[in-house]
Amino acid sequence: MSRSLRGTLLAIAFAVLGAGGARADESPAFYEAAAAMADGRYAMAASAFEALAARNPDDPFADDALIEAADLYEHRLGDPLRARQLYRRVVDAYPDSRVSRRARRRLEVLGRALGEGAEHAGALARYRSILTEYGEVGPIASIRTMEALLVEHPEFPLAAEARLWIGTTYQQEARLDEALGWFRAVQERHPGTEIAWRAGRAEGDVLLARGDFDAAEAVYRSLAEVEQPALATSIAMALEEVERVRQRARQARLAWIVVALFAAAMLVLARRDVGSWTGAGRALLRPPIEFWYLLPVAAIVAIAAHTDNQLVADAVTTIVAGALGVSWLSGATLEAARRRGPLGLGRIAAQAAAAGLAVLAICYLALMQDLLLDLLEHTRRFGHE
Amino acid sequence: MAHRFLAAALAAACFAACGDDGSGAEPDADIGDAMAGGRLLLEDCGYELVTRDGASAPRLGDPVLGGDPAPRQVRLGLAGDPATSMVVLWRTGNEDSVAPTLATEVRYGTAGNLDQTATGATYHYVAGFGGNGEHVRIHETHLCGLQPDTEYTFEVGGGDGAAEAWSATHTFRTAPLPGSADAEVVFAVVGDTRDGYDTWTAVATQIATHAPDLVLFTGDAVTIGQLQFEWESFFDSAAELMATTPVISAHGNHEINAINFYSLFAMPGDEENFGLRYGPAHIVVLNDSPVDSGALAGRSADLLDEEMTASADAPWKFVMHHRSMWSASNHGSDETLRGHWGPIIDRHQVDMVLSGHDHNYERSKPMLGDAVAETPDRGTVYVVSGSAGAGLYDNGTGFWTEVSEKRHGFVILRVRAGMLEMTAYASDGTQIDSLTLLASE
Repeated sequence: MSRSLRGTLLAIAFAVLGAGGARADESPAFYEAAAAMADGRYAMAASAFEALAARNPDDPFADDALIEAADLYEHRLGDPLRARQLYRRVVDAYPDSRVSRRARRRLEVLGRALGEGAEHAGALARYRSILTEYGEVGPIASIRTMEALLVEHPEFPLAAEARLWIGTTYQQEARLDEALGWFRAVQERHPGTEIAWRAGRAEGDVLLARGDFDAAEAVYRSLAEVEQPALATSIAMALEEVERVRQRARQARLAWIVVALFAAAMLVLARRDVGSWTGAGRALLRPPIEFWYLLPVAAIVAIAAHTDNQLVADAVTTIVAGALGVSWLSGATLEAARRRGPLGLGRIAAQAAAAGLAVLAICYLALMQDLLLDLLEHTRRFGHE
Repeated sequence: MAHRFLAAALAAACFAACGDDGSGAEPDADIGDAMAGGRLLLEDCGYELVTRDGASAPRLGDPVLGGDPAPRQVRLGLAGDPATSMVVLWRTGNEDSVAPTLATEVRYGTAGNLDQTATGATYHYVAGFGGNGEHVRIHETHLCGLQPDTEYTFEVGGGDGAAEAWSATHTFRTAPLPGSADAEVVFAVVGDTRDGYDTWTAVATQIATHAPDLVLFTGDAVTIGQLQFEWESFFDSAAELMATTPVISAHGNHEINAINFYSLFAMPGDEENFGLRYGPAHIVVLNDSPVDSGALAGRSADLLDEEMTASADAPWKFVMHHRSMWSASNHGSDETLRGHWGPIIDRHQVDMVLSGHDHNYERSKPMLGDAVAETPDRGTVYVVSGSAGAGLYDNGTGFWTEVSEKRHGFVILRVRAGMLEMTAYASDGTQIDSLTLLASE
């Protein structure tokens, strides 16, 4: 079937029925309202849907029109009370209809958010509009609106969800300090709730992302006492993740130490061979002949690695750049030594071993970056992606 | 579980049990069973329940209660016509014992009554690697001959009258008939829960507020398909949703074609590649990480073509599989799959292709061949919905990308003959994206 995208459709199927289906009287009106909805003319669409149901309540499309109108009032038009009325009408007037199940479910959701009365309707309308218009409004403006909502409606039944939402959105924006603040606020203000548990989990995730392993582990352990087995499994897996990342960080530190020791060793050797620190520095700044041999090879490899997969491209570039740097330092040191006289086999072997070790350390750092190491492990276990 | 064969030739008595070799001998359900699979004719349904190598042969349930007979993980699946059938699956305790619960009954009815009873089948498989894991017993009852577009109440369990164990009551609704003019069906599209079962709980709770008729899972429920504890978390996390909404899952690469995957879900056909007509939608599900990769260009491609040809009258056509054919994230676009399936998708003007694999959300522009379609109504929209729990990947943008977002979440599809509404939500309810397609003549 051909079809048109939102905003571009002119020809609407007034009755797209399968074989044997009866043409419904209100089908054209329903799809006219649907076209208005697709174009973003929500108020007009809601009115048209309601009019259809009022005009012909026995039409097969009447219940569908009512629930479409209710959905628009709840999510697009900021009128949860009207939405609740219409959902109730669907349940009462069309209890066996297909959409009755959804109407009952939405009534439960609205009931939790509104309570029995209407005092939180305004807050709920704003809350819903923040969630619905997030894409157009943007994260920071949405956060400001949500913060204002919490100030103006401190008793809003969905305050815990709203606070968690702010924390998560800050986290999404990589503003981790603000995110942590909100996650902790949720746990303090709404202790013992499922939302507080989620905020704790999010706090642990942020701490882990920042490399604060002990704090992350402490938070996760505080969440482990939970009745739901699935949540307990998640925490157990999170604790495993802390240990894995902690081990990786240790290995990364070790790799950096190896690289730093190598550079320092080259400087000390050059100092010994040249006789002064200034001379050593000058000797190391002069690229050795092997550097010029390797440079085009490294450039070609780096360019060739720039495929669709940015992770691979970044890692290969880091490795060839690092290896080039090692060959520079090592080669420059050897050239300085050769000026003093012929080199012994032991010196050459030791220097080659040191350079090899430094290159391995750089490889590890490059692969660990952006979790490429995980991707390689993943490919080993689960096959080529 | 199951695979379904059209059973014109199967005319044996109701629930006749036959061994894998067709000898007619009733299989033994004890722990010591040969785990070579088997089949059981479900005459009311007109097809066979088939278990795979690694599971015992299915046998008819007996009114026997084991040490811990309380039903748990009650959930729904589909194996036959969704307008007239439903599969109910559940688990019981003491699965490793030599005397497990064998009672496999469903009491069900319309208008809140439980005036009908169906007896199902039970079988077990060994989780883990190399047959060294725990025994997992499945209770599976296929309800057939149901009324279309009707709400049913049900409970599961059984016993011998003196001692019985039953679950809480739940409800489901059968699909409308394909030609229904006004009926709307609601699908939740979600995938890649692995590692993140607490997030999956939040996502499933949000999904339930939309009262979907069917959950389309894009694969990678677990990290390693053979590890049963992950499956426990997967099902426990979404217990409420799955007790009222059938789930159809594409096989993800992390399922590793494990017996767990093929036993824990109830789906049509061979449970790898199959088609399903649900109201105005025809959905083809494909396994893009089969044991034999030659199947991608062979069996899978053939089935896709056949199903789409046979469903030419369906107002809306969907394909679901795991690895995305268009994605700007970590894994990128799978050009191998696109080479095998893209031309078929284009030829049949599939409306939407649903996948996961990359842990975020992405919607493509309407695509035709390797380019954006010149006229939108000729193209296919590719949706990546793989962010129901697993650690998120950075989202990217390619020339094909309409919207992409790095957030945990899910997609809701509301489908009726003349209109398809798609909304992507984050796990906290934030709306990420929406799209409305209207059918034109």
